[in-house]
Amino acid sequence: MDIRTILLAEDDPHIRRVSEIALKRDGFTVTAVTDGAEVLQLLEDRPFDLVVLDGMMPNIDGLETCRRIKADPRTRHIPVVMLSARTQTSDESASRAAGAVGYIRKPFDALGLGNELRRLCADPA
Amino acid sequence: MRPDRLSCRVTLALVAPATLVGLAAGWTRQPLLMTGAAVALALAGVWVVRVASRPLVAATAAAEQLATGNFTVALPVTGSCEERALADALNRLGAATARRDEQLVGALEDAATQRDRFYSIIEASSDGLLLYDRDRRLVATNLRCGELLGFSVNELLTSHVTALQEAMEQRCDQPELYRERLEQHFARSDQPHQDHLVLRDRRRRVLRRYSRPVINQRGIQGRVFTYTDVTAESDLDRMKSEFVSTASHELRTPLTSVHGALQLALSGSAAHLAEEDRELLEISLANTERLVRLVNDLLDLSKIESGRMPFVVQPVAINALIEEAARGMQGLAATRDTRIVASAGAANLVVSGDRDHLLRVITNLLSNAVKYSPPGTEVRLGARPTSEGIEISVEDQGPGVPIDHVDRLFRPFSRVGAQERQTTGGTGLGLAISRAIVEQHGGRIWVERAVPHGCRFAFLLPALTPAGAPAEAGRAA
Repeated sequence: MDIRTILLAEDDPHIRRVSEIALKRDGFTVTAVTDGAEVLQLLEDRPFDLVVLDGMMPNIDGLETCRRIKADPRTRHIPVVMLSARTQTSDESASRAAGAVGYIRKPFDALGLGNELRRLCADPA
Repeated sequence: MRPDRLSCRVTLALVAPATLVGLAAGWTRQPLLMTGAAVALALAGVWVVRVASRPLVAATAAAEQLATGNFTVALPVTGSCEERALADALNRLGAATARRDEQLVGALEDAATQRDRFYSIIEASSDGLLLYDRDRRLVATNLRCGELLGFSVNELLTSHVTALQEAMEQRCDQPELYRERLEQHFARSDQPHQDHLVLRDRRRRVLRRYSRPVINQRGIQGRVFTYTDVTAESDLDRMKSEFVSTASHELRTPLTSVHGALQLALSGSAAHLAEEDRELLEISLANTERLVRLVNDLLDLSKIESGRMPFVVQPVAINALIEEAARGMQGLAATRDTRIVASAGAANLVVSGDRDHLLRVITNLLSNAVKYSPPGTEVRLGARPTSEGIEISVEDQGPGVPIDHVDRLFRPFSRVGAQERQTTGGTGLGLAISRAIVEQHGGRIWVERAVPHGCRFAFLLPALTPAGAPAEAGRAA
């Protein structure tokens, strides 16, 4: 599928800004927010082509946000990619169990982030 | 024969001949005289019997005394030759028996002392101890062992071995692994063997189990097991690896934005950057990348060493592994003007292990070899079966490793020289990670001098068992 709009949730302001710039330069329209509650709120109003969630966020964390997106019939078709600074394999399997199409480890390659997201959405292995 | 019966028979035997002599003599005299003589003779006979039997009575009494355990026999050595000999023999028998008795009592006391010492020693040990005889019967243990394994000493010593084993299996995470490991101890009957047990009944306990054969001149007499509580060390290890894991996560977050920001700054409006500014940003980026590798390697090392790195264990074909590793390193080799020559040997060697991690070990050794190789030289990668397993080696024609570095080469951050850090660009953890991976596979890794110069890194992995059962690769469960 063609991805143009991305909803990005990341509580660390610097990572959020760097990711936002990286994805904008790659040609995406990015909406950056700080936690899962904002993500769910925004999804009520308008659709996005892709949601990128940091794993550890205050209030509603990434996994829970992902589960809720996948539980809602209106949003369950939207692909979700998780970002995490943790490297436990259990995190990766937990992401898949929550319904995410992929998992990107931090620190990620800022120049290749857009392509990686496209690849994960095209090839949800 | 009992002494009282013996003395009766001797007396009768003496009376009878004397009476016969008296009667025979009487028949040739006048009746009165004959009667008197007969009486006299009879009396004489009684006297003879009495006198003659007196030493025998004393001897009998002495023998009885000996029999009851009183060995202080002192018969007067008088009378006939035979009587003196008898008395003397009995006196000597008494003395000899007394000496033997003393020795026996002494030996018993020694044995009791030894036994008390043995029990004091095994009871004083902070390790649990089990001593099995050749038929795998438990013959000695200590209170500590009961404490560690969760049995009373009485239970340990009186329960049937299979019952104990079943009870132990219930206390372990993985009963089958426990059984298999125990058999490994007994199987290597002339060798010491060591492993770890994790017991969970009231709380998690980690025990180091060590066993060695009990051997004397007649051969293997059994096996002794000791159990050491290493829960504290294990907890400390876990805390260390949790700390490293948390620290690395905390480091990763700022590194993500620094790394990403530098990448974007250099790629975006790079044309507008002054040459020096660009150089400074490139230095920052290169070192950020290095920091990222360092954090990743540190975390990996901690996870592998603590056995928390999930290994996907399956049969791995060495030929393909070697080819892949060589292919992956050709690029680096080309930039250094070195050549990687890979030969996996004719045999289809197979080991049991985690393919990606084994590839990482070979790649790491190759990358080191290429980095330390002078231009125009070859790096040889090969594999061969040995009596112990399968040996994979990487040989270079570089400067080699100074002998005093050989031991610490596989420790984290130990490099031959400080300047190497700048030129090789590694994290200083590659060999430590390689060693951890190889050891988790039940193998070992080492370095030796190559001929004519350079060095040869090799590691040995247990070959896949003929039955095709994959050997277990994780650390003690």
